[in-house]
Parts: sequence; structure tokens; C-alpha cells
Amino acid sequence: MQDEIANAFRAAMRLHDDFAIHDAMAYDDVPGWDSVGHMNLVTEIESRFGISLDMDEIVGLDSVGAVRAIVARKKSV
Amino acid sequence: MQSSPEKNRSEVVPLLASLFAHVDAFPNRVALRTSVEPISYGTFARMVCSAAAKMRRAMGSRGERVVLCGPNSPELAAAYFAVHAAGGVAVLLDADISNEGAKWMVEDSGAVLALCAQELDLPIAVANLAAWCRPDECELLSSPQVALDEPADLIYTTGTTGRKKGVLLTHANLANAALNINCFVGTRNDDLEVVPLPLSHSFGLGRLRCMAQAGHTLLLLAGLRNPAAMLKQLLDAKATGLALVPAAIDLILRLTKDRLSDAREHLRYIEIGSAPMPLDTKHKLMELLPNARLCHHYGLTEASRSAFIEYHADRDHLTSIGRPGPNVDMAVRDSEGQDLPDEACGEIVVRGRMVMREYWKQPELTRQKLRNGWLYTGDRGYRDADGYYHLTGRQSDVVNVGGRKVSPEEIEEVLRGHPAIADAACLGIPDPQGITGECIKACIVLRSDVRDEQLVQWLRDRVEEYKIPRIWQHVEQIAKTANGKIQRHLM
Repeated sequence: MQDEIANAFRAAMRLHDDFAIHDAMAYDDVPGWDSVGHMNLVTEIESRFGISLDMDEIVGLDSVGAVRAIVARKKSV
Repeated sequence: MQSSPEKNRSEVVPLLASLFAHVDAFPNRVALRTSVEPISYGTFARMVCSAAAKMRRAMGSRGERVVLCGPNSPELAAAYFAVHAAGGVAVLLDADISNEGAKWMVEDSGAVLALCAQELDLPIAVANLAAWCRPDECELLSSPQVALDEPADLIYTTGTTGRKKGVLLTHANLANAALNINCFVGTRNDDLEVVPLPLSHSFGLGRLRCMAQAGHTLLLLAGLRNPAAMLKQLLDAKATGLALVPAAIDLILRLTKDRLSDAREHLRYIEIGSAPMPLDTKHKLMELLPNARLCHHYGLTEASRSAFIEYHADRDHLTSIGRPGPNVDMAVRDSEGQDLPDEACGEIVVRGRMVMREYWKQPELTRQKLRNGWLYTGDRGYRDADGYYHLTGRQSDVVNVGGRKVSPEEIEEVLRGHPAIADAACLGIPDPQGITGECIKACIVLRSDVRDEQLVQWLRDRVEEYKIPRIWQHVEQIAKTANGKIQRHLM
């Protein structure tokens, strides 16, 4: 799942394939993570994992690790 | 010519005088709310005076330019007024400006001092922004004296030829602009307003100036990376005011559906500006916030907030940019400078005490654009029979990306510096995602293979994120005139 989350980030932020993504990365560590990038990230996550994120969950998407945790929680329900 | 029916010609005082009047009247009122702790007007004034004392010693004489660079913070806000208090002229740079871009602005402005939140390699003295604004280092808390006709701000705006233009504004310009805005929006001193806009841009800086005059509270955010988080902060704080560009409103609506309506009981106003808003979004906003004043401005750095429309009151004129703001005159003129009748298309011109003094070190451009007190905006449009103004186009290639202006030439020059690119042309196209209004499309002629993501990274190292093209097209050659000028309309 982690690779798919990394791929979601790469697609949303237009990063090249070998750009390393790891859980500790927050806004400033991921190039292109602005407001448009954030919306693209939500779209990528929802389509790749077949889930729908509500406002509180979107508020919590502030790091790669946080994204992974929210996706894991949604998928386990 | 048309004047606003709402006149308020009372004499203004410099914003600093207004700010310190609030300090005297209610020193414990919160000026700025941040994620750390609230800052009262009294503390804010001590931050201003602390930085101003240091600046006076570093500047030498009045009128010197002082560069400020950093993300939104109480220190940046205080340093801005400190420059004025020290008799200087504030030059604000984008927080994510490249070192090369910062150097150019330092050299063009002739700045003698820079206060930065980050490390920049500049050919002048550079001080740490936060270290200069410590309230406990305030030696003397007193209202600084500035004259209304003294220069206050030098704001750089994107020019039509790729070169940035410095717009010189006086204290009178700033105070009159704030008066006009507060008058139209109806700002009260008990308002709590969320401002995620960068203070380095005219819109965000305008909200800070309005605070100094109205005496209300700003919830100053460092940015808008997570629009849903911003809405949550607005709801948690029960904010009464908000300032946003249309792209940000669109993102909030997409990400949070109808949750903005949760603010309908406390949100009194939104100031919207810097770009047009799609009609559907206006209707959605009106539906979600039936009681809020939804004030959309039209303006330029050279003439802050020249026209306003309030969506509910002007519901039958939502495709217009509104009518002249308080204390503003507007007209539409032909190429000979003659007033045109209603419905006739020409250049929109603006007059008022908020209109800039001049373009910095560009007297010829100033003469072209400022004639007999009227600013020739470069925007084409017409006035309808009801007195509402409509835009039909611009007389330049500048692209408006979500309210931020981009010169295609700047991006082309950076792209041509990439070893794999032989030539490039950039232009504005409608944003296919429908968020930022316009976005940049790059047409490139390749020398050797390169992937779009590599070009994005090349640009990320050299220009701000919003300037990076969203659409890439590989072409055989760039269409140019006989003398080498790019024919963007053919790309």
C-alpha cells in the first residue's frame, strides 16, 4: 500500500518516478504540495483506493504518514 | 465618467496613526491570532517600535527601501509597519522567491537593508526578521510621525514585457485604499477575519492595512495548502470575515462540499479578488451564505480595489466587475483618451486617492499610464446602462493563475536555459481543472529527450510553484514574426 501512496503523491505533485517518498515527509518536504496539489492528492487517494474522504479526514492529510494512516483506517472498516 | 454614489471624502490619517490610536484605545484587544498565541494591539505596537528603532539605525535617512521576505507571520506584519515607522519604504518579496529574483529586486529598488525569515544571499545587509521584532526589546512606545505624501510601499508587479514594475505608493494611497475597502465591506472593530493570503501580494497586504485602520482582529494563516484545514479554523474560531481568491473558494467547495454553510451564522463578509469567479461558483456561494456580504473587487496594484460588486445586492449584474468603489471615479476611453458612451468598448481608466504616485524609475511608463490624474489600466471593457463595468480583455500577455500574475517571457527564459530545450513559448489557457481560471501552457522545441516531470523539477528549482506550466506541448518550431517576436495566438 505504501508504494501506491507514494505513487499517488508522485502523480498529484507531478514528481518523477524515482523521487523518494517516505512517511515523515510533511508539506514542506514534498515539492508541489500547495492547495491545488492537495486537491489532486485527495482525488488520487480516493480513486486509487476506492474510498471517499470527509472534511475532517482531509484536514488531517498533513504528512505522508498521516495519509497512509487514514487510508489504512478507511480500508479496514 | 462615473463616480461612486457612496462618497466618504473625510480626510484620512496615515495607517500608522490609526494603528497607534487603537493601541491607545484598547491595548489588550487582539490584533493577530496565530497558531501559537494571540498578539494584542499593545504587543504588536511594541514589536513595530522594536524593529523600527533598529531600522532607523541601519537605514541612515528617510525614504530608504527596506526589503521584507518571509511567509505570513506576526513578525512580517510588524516589520511592515516598522518600515513605515522608521521613515522607510517597504519592499515585500514572495516567501518562495528565488535568490536570483530577490537580488534583482534588491538592485532595482536600491534597498539598503533586508529582513528575511530565510537565508538569502543578497548584496546588502540582511537581518533575521523575527530577531528584529521582539516586543521585549522595545525602547520607546510612541506613535511615529509620517506624512501622507511620503512614499510608503514599493510593490513589484508583473509587467507586460517580462520585467517586473515597481509601483510606488504613498501613505495617502494606502490610507485611502483602506478607507474605501472598509467602507464598502463594512469592516467593524469587533470583526475576526481569516487571512490566508500572502502579505507579499497586494490583496493580502491590503487586508493588513485595513486591520490597522479598522482595529479588528486578523487570524493570519501561513498559507492555504490545505483548504479544508482553513475552513475548520474559520469554523472553530467563529470568524466573521474572510479574504480569499476565487481559486481558493473553488477548492474549499470541492473538498468540503457544503460545509462552508456551517459559517452562515457568524461569517459577515468575504472579500474576494485578484481574479474572476465563475458564475456557478458565485451562485453556490450565495446559496451557502445568504446573509454574508460577498464583496468581489476589481483592482490593480496601481489602483487598489477600484470597483466592487456585492453578489447579493447586485444579483442581477453578476457577470460584471461592479461599480466604482467608494471615492473612486471610473470611465471607459478610446485610444484618443476621449470618454466613450455606455456599452462602447474601450480602455478602463480609474481615478482616486488610492492611485499610485508613479512607476519606480520608469518616468516614461508613468507618463503613459498616468494622465491628468487618471490611471490607464490596460484592461478593455465597457460600462452598461446601469453603470456596471464589464471586462472584455487585457492588452497584455500576462497570465492570471488563480489571482497571481505570470509573465510568459519569464518562464520561457528559464525553459530555454534547460540543455534539452531549443526554444519555448508560454501562454495562458483556461485551466482544464477549472480551479485557477487560467494556467500556463508551454510549447517546447526539444534538442534531446526529456520528460515533463524533469522540466517541472527544473522550474521548481528556479521559479515559484504557480508559475510552472500545467500543460506541455512538443512542437517542431515556435511561431514568430519576422523580427523574432513570439506569436502566442498561433501556438
